[in-house]
Amino acid sequence: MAGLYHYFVEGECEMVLLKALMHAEDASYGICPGKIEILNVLYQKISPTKARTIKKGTKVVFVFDTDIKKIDLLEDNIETIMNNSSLNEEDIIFVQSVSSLEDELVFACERLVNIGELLGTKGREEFKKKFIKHRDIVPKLKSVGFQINKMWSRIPSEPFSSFAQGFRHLTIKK
Amino acid sequence: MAVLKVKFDNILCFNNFEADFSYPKKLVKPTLDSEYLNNFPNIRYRKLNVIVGSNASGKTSLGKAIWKVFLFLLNKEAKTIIDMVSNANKSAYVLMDCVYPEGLFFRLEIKIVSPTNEVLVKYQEKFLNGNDSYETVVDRLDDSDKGFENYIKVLEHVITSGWNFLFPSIESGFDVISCAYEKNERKEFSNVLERVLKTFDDSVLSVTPSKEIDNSYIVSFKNGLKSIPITHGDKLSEIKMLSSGSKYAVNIAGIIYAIKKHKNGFYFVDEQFSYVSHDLEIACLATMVNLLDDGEQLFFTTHDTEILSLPFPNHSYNFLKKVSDEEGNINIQMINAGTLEKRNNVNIKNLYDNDFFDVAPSTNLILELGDK
Repeated sequence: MAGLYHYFVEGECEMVLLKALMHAEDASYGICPGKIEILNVLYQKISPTKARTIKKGTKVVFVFDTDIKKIDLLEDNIETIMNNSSLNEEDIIFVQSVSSLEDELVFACERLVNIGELLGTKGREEFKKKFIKHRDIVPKLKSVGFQINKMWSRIPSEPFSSFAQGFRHLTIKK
Repeated sequence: MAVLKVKFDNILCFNNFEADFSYPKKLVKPTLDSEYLNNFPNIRYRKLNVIVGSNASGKTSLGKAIWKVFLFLLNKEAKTIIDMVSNANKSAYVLMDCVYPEGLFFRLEIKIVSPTNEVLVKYQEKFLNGNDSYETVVDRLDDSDKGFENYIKVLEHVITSGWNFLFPSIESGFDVISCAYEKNERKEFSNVLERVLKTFDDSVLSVTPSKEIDNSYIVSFKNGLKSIPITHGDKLSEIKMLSSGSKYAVNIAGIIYAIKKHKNGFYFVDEQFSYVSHDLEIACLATMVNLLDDGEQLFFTTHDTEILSLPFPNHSYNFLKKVSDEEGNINIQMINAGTLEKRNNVNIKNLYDNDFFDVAPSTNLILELGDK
């Protein structure tokens, strides 16, 4: 767990989930703590200035959905980081939702058939709103059979399959 | 004296602010000696409180708020407290729990009523029993809203002392050298000042008490450079020949001497090391901590996050951050590293660098200036 991590995540839900896992009291749900920044690497550019602030030895983690098949900016961002920091390609970890975070949660929770059941919501927007405000998300997920080893474990389809799914490198035993 | 808890509402930049400086459970492998009162071992308090926060997070304000509450207890002047009220259209509230090593606990509560600015006080003292913990003493208090009375009547017989606050010299009223000691102490203080100054600046040869002026010390330099006086009451910023960091060394020596001689008991050292190298800062901090005696407490604010690597208990490290509530009001929160990370073998610096405590400032507005 030593080392530095900098997560670029697609949205607030990913941020809330990752923060909750970082602070999980249950050792088996812990992940490497790191700075979390909301920036969708498929749609937003990481500036060279920002890349220069990434310290040596950092692992950069890209967390994104794979529902829209578009990787030109993702490739640009990888290049920006490699050209403006001391990091190499192997220092970038890809965490790809197949195909969205909600789908990943349903896949990783044994007793969840659709995402609305988790927080008693209807529709994607209501779920997001409630998920972001939830103060105790890890116990909630555990109550529906959350298995962290299933989360972000599937290989996405083209054109994302060439980026190795790396969430297992972030899970830790406290 | 040690502070166990503070609450501030509508005081300076603090709204619904609460900070606890006790700890509930005996530590299995304590990395700091006797963080409890010797005669009352269940009264556990955080002997060292390092406060790290980004700029404008409230570190100095916290020191000032505590300082003004102590001053109010001493001078019994309402203005001392009223001047700290942030929004005059709202009532303000202060709570402070303190304990003396001799076994006296007190809770001071202050209400500043809006719009009259009437200052009402509730003051409760308890003598500690041998087995008392902070929690059992609090259980014996009256926590109702009753009992607030005019401050003059309540505080008439309250005597309190034993604090030492050191704020940066750029703060109004703090650009001043403090080195007034009895004659029989001057040699010992000059020895401390010499050791600190020589460490900060290796061109310093010696420091001796002035024979001509009381509370003045003569700093001699190597290579025959002209000696300079350091005199109580003079402006720190106007000391000649010393670098910015070495000027701070004068008051740092003063606080080390105060702790060494146990002159006060409660010490708040606020950002004295902004111009000082990391090695010197940790040497001074470790020295101060080591000198703390029974019932004494040190607060130490810094921007130097390398301090977080030092082997103090996790609960010694605190972070201040501004958060906005649902109504858009900005509130300051204190986050204690020990509450989020219980394992004492974990490097808090690494967690901080990974923003585990969620206190890193957003730097995007500056970074965007660099975009071409």
